[in-house]
Amino acid sequence: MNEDAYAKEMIAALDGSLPLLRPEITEQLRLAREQACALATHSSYAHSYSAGHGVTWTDWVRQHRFGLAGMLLILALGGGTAVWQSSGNGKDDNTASVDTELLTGDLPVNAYLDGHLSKWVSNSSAY
Amino acid sequence: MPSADELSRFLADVERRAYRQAAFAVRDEQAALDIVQDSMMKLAEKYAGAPAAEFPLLFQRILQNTIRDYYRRQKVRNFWVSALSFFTAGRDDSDEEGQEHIQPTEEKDNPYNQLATGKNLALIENAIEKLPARQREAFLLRYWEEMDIAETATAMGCSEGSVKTHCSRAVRALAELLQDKGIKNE
Repeated sequence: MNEDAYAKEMIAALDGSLPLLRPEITEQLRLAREQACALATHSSYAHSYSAGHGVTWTDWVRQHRFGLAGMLLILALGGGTAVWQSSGNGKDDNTASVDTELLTGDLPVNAYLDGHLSKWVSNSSAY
Repeated sequence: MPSADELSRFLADVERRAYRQAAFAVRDEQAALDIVQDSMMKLAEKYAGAPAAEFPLLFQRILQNTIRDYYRRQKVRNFWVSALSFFTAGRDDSDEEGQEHIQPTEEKDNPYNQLATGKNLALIENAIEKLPARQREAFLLRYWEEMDIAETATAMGCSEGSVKTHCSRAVRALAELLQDKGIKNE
């Protein structure tokens, strides 16, 4: 069997069938084609491709959107942690200084048990 | 850079064959239209600035990938439909609408086949539909789209040897299928 010739006979039959497509289908195909051409006309990809197959920044952003989203999330987490630490550490400065004084022996070991300690801490922080 | 007219001419030339290719593959009229439309949009969006001579290969590659994406989505969908049917088996209001979408269009309900003038044409189309996906893909690209073996291999993402094998098997399978239906190979 000559495979090429046999295949071409079948393809000729298929070609003959194309004009028999229903008008609704050909109309939908025409609309799809027009939409595609409109997109091509207004797309900046055409320009970027012709200009040395370069990539526009919007193309680059679209291609790397998941990586960028991940980086932004990490930056936000890092920034938030830094802000939280810098703002939160001030509140504990007094306690830290008391701890230091306890460790260095400037205060008695039962200083925390003293009911006036918190008052003393707030007074000393006022200076 | 090709003009929009060139792209339009190319798409006008290829759209009906692309639709038939997709319809052979997915056996669903609306899904085939969606696939062709998606492929056109992808070509226009990504490759409108490519040389016009590259359009056929690019478009076929996009079309075949879109058809494969459809298969994958259907596979996932079928999995969930069968998994969920386990829980809804006893219910009367089963998901008939979804099942209808998955099932291939019945031949008797396919208006295209009703319009086909020759019985042989419908037999040929049925035989092409019955081919394994890769054989059908190779056959249609090679003979209907008139691509050479290297281009077909590129569009299919396989080796040239595989293309030759798929094409040869497709033609032989078609000959056997049609012979069974009474169409002799002369």
